[in-house]
Amino acid sequence: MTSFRNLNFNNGQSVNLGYVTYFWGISGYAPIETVCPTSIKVNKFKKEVEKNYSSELPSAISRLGWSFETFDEANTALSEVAEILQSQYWLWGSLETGGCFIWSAPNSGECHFHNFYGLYHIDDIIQGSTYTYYSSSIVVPFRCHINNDEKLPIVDNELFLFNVNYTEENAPKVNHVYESEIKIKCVDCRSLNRYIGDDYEWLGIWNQKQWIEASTSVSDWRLHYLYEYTTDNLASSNPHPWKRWKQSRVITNIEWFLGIEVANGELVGGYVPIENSDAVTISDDDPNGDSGGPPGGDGDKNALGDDVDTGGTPSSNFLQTGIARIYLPTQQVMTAFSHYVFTDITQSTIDQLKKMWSNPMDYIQNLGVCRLAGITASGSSAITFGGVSSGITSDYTNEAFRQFDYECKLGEYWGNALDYSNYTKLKIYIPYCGLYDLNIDEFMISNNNGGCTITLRYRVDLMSGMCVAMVRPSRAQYGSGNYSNLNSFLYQFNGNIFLPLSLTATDWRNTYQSVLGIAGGMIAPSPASVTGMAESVMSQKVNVQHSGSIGTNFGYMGIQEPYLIIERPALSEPYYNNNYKYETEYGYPSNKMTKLSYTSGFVKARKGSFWANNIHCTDDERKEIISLLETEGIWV
Amino acid sequence: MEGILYFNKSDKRYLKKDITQIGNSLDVTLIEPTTVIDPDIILAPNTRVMEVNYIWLKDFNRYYYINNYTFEYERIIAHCHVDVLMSHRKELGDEIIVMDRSDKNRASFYLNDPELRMYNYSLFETKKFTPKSGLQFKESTEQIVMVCSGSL
Repeated sequence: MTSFRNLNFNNGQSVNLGYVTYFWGISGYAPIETVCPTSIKVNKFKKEVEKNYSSELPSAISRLGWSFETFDEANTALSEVAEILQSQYWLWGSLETGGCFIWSAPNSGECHFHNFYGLYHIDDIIQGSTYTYYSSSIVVPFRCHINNDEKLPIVDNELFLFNVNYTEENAPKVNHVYESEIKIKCVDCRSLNRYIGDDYEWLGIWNQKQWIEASTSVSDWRLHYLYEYTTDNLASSNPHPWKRWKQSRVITNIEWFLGIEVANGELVGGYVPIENSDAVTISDDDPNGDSGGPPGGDGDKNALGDDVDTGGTPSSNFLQTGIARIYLPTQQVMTAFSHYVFTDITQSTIDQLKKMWSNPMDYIQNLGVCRLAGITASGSSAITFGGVSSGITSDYTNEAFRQFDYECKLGEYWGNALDYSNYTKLKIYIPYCGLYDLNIDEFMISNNNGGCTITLRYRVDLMSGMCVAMVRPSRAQYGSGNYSNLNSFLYQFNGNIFLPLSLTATDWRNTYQSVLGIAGGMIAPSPASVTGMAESVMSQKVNVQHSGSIGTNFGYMGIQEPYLIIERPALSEPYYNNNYKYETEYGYPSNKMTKLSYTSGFVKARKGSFWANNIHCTDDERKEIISLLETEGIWV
Repeated sequence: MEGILYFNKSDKRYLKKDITQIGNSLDVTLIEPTTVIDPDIILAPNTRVMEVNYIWLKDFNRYYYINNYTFEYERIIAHCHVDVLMSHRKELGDEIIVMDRSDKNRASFYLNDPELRMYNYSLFETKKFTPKSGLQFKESTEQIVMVCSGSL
């Protein structure tokens, strides 16, 4: 029997168990779907156990926060836990290169503790030989640390689980409620089994690359799986009757649960659905448009568009002409200049200025204050207006236009249709411009697909204070056909960043007039369309305008940081037990074509897709079958 | 006609019913005229009818729900309705359908799902933008800007 401690892999890497983490939770026959998408439940369970059994828990567990230093320690601890939890919960765990496995069955009062020995590497398996492997029900292998200095390509302590649904083409049917039930697989593609009636099937999927990224692992596994592994590679010795079927199944769906921190139970990742291209989806169009498909078959499905960028800032060369200069006076400089203008100016100065204008103040074309930090000066000189030098030195700038960016990341929250319109709403507050609605569909994408980087780019004219704020989503796009990533400025808003400082009564009048007619908050019904329950609830909600236009004076007094407001629907998630869940009750939206025997669980047919014309039955029976499948759905 | 009585625990929407045979096969008589979909059959008065709700009729090669019983002198009439799913499950399994909803073969979570239920409140999140260059708006900044003409 090979010890897990000294397994030798192809790359010569000697695997030694540094310490073992494990994963556990409350469960029934199909535990992993219950636990993995909502590791919160795991935490809840953990807390419950800690609360109720803290005095009885093995010291190894409490000392190390539910992780173990050695396999033996894990062995001992888990066996003790198994006794404690007998008839209470399922508890399971295993070690990646061998391990232990515990389960208790509340219904039967049984409690079993198993050791796994010799999960052999594919290259170590001699076809036709017998190897010892022992398992029951669901196996959840865990990642272990390897005892060398190299970091794993993926984050340590993370557990990657795959929930794989598939159908069998050549597998005998076993009449049992758990037929085609849950399958679980770990990132290194080592284990995958399932419970079928009284039999346990071990699919024996082995991956030659032990430490690879999860996404690679999925595709690698699929590749290997689809291109056959002979059953001779399966471990074969088991006290239970085994079903060893031909490995020629059609994978219909793969999901993977990413990043569950098994060391401390914290969820560090998300739930990522991966579409399997091998499954038949009814959405591919025929390019010639003559063999069905969705309407509009003439499109080339090519949307490799162009990025719309803002280009560079406008030139400020006109400032070199001397027509005008932008001074950046400090408060002290401004005080001195005011003194000069209002007290020190002489009759000869006025006469000189009046050569061109009736009022000396007309040479000060704009005077304002703003909260824009970081304006760099081009130099300093005496403030000169109307050709008359005041003798008061101030910084000035030769760049009238300035451009600067803000960024924010956005990703999905629910990981489903609820993250998009008409469920989720997005607003952006742009200082000096106001609060505006954004189209959530332009910005939303899952973090696992890179998320969306939202760029808010300001372009400011320091002569007038006018600004343009432009908004760009940068994200990947997915769909049928060819799409370029969305990386274009889609929105432009305008405002003014100056609070005018008035020198004359006329200036003040102009200032007030400039802000007249600005509306406050108001309530308007959302124009969202109504389709479906959730949507209708959201669309009935009022859309409250959080602000009016915020420019000029108001912007100076308002919030200086741009931000997003994301409004999401609150999904009601009823409690389901292990064998009765949302998908069991309602199914998920599918839109896939299949032979009915290739699927399992709840199925509802799309209206008109199913004629039952190969069934030898009466017409009334046929109508009843169709009605059941199309209106109520059936459980296969 | 030969028939086998069962106790059926499954909902009618299950393709394969969870049934338990009650007693041995027995001879049943049809009340004629009858239909293959809703036959009425005569059972012997000593039949354990209170324990059964399901029957297989050999000649029709179909399974039937027993919807109700009528008790008469020395006979019991069982009013049946065909279970189309269980009866034709093998042929049904070969039928190709487009699934509108499925437990195991979902297309994507991004199809609209009208079965989801929402609370009548929303979740709100605010996210701040981060400045990416030296320039930014700051509460603490008070930058005076004066534009003068005739500055040379």
